[in-house]
Amino acid sequence: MKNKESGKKIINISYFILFTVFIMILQGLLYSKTIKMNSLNEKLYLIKTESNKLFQKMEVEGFIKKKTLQTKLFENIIEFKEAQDKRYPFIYNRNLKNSLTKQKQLKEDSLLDKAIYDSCDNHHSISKFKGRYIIAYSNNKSNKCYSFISTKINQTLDSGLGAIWYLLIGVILIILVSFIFIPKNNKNRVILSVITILYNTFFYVYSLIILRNAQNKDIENIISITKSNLTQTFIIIIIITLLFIGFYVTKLNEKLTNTLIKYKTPYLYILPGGLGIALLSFAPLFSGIILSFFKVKYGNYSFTWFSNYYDILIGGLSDIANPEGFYYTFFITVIWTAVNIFFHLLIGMSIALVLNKKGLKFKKVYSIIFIIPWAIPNYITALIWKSMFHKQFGSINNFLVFLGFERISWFTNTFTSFLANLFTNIWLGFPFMMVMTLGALQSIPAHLYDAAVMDGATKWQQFKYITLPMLKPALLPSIILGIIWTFNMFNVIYLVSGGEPNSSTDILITEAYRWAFERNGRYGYSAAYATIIFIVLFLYNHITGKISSKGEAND
Amino acid sequence: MKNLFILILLIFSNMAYSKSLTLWHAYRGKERKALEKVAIQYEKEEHTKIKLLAIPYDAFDKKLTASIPRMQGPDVFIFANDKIGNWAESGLIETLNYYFYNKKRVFLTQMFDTTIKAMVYKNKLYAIPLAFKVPVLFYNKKYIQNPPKTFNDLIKISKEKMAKHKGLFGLGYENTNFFFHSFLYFSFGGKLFTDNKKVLINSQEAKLSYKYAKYLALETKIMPQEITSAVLTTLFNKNQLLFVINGPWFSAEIDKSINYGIATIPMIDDKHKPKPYMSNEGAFINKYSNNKSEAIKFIRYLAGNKGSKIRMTEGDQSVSVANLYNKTTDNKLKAFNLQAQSSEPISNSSLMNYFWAPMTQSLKKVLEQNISIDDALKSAKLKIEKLLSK
Repeated sequence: MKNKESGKKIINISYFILFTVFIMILQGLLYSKTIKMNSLNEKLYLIKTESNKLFQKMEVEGFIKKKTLQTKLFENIIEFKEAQDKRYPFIYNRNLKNSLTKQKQLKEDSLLDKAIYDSCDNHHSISKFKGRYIIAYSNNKSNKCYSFISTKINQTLDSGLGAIWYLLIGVILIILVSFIFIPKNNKNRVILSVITILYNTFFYVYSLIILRNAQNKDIENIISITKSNLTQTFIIIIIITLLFIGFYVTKLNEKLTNTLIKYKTPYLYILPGGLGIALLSFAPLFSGIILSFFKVKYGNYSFTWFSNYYDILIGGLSDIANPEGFYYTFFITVIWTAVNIFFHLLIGMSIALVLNKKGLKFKKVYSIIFIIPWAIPNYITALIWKSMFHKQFGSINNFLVFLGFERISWFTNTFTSFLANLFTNIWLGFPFMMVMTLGALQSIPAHLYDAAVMDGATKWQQFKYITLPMLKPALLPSIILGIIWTFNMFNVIYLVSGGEPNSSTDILITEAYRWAFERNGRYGYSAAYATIIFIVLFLYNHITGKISSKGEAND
Repeated sequence: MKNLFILILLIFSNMAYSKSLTLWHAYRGKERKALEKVAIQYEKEEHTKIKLLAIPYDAFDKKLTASIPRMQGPDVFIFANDKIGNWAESGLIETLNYYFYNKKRVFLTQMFDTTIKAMVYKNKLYAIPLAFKVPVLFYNKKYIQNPPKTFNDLIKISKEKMAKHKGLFGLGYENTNFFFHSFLYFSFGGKLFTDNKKVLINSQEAKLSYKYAKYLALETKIMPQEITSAVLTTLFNKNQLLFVINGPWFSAEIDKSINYGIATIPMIDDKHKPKPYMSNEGAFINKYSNNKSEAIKFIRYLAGNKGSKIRMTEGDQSVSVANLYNKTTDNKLKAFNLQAQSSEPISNSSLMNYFWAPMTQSLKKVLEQNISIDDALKSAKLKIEKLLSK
């Protein structure tokens, strides 16, 4: 027995050593790529300085003849002259006389021709085209521009594909090792292989993304980008390794395999549903959380750790007096939810109690009427209410005038605007509580009331000691659900008040929407808001779950 | 087996067009039909398949910025010019200087200068103008035959008619939307920003335009309150609104029973000519497209005389080709053309994005929340500067 356990430990340790060695190899590969980029940058530096020298020479001496192009760095230099067309003063004409290129050669590759032409649109630019660098200098005084076209530099960054072989070899090695060292009957063998393959695929894709990103960026930024990406990779690797070790220390892997084998059939049954949830719920959730760590500015993503959260919770957006600030919006959201749920319950329960009366005529008609607000899609209801709140043409103001009041401009004042939202959502929300209460009421046994009457209890006492306690278990889940719905009631806020005035009636979810779609596509802020909402609701759910289960235990 | 044969046949029949282009647009109704007609005609003449895809206007920008870098975007797309700055900075669209200026410049000389300048960003041409959209004055012919020449006339006529007909309003325009306030803002000489990010909205000229908007909304008593586009459409279609200042898209919302005319926006006073925002639609080329030369060829057709004629006659578009207006007998199109002569093209700088919401908010403050013009513009300026500094 003892021998077996010690044997197991040795296997685990040897596996980890291999694992770390493997990661080191991968890192070495990535670093070697940065070195390659460095050498590329050196060449670029040469091209830049050399072309600058030539440009200055040309400013003094005029155009340089082909013979004087001693350096092997350039294939061509082309002179452009600003067009004399006053309609479009930003256009350059190619000065064919002073071009070192034969026109035919350029025609072969019209896209290269275009790249050269475009280079002179900016006064000073470096562009890359199919392994060539095109550097343009222009002088406003002489209305001339020179394009320096470098020779082809074969070394390209696109060698990410090469890395796949190293990775494949690594995977095969690890599988082999695990098969050799781990005895046949041990389930760890399969799990280890699967995890290794998954991890490596992730790593490979990630390194490809890094290289792709580096390629698309400005040449001068490549080094800094790769370096920052490499530190990120390093941190991610450490986290994954720690997780991996944690997995083994806690023996979670054994537990997992054991339950998987023990309950094979039930797990198979829930597999399709589980996959669906993973794809439709968890994948967006996790991508949202990941996005919240990025700063997004018009399509450019940069990793910024917790800066979005910092801005929202501590930094620029934490001002309580600012209606666009987090705490103000959070305060409004909490009040919004609390007031709504109170009225939903009050109205829903009262109607349900009336409808539950024995001998009430047209009961079915009433309940259908009361369910209508729930049955109509809520955005339609919201739009109807919005038009009813119009200052001049809205029916609510017309009614107020009929009663002798003045017209109210509903959406120019935070309080009335909030009220307008509130009325709409009360209208939308009470039928749910009514239906839930009605259902629960009908399941209360009648003999309890009979006994109460015998004992001389008043109606209020009956309600307090029989109805309410019996309703509690049925109503608690619906209240929890109602709170979550109201907390995220996007449609009503967005369509009725639209956050007016000055986004002071916005709740968290509409604020998140505005950051993404109305304030220049700041998806990072938006995702951080969404994550905060998720955490708040998760904590709330956790706490209420504990309280309610405690309550039940006490009962 | 038979099915397989049909399938193969289908695949091959599709390959009859060896070349194909995808085009995204946000057109609906008549404009869409006209574009489809141009595409079909082009297919016949040039044997290039044009795959049209209509994308909702609001989702257009998001879809483009998401799909183009992932090589899934269209070859050509048609959209307004105000996002050029952003698209160019993030490298989504192709520069067209080379194709249209290198040798032949004749093609562009037939277009209005302003529409071409609207497509230029940092000395580069990014799109070929197709059509422009500019707000004009719509009037109900049930009440008046000749449109007023000045705003004083407009107010006078409105008051006369309102006294006669109960429930009638004189003038309606979305006065809390900066796009529609623009005809006053630029008429008084207001400016938004300079190239080096200096915000200029707190000027005397801007304040004058706000003052006039306030005068129209609160003192003349000819305008309905809390105006939205839905309010304008409903009132105009019920014969309860005399004048509307709105863009060409408003025509599509007017009921068939309403007899209406279109004219240029009247003079504000002797010195101030209205200058509404003009938005320009252009055809763009995806930077990552594989069919750029084909795309250029199609754009030349679409924006040139043949394509423009179809878009003008069938799609009621105010096209950018100047000489087509000499021949047309359509008074409405002529009015749009005339208004375009006195208009302000929407800036295509990426800075523009920071202005819309704060400017609209400041208008709401002045016209609906009774906050002074000075305070509203000052806080708008602060807000924009804060956004710009981030």
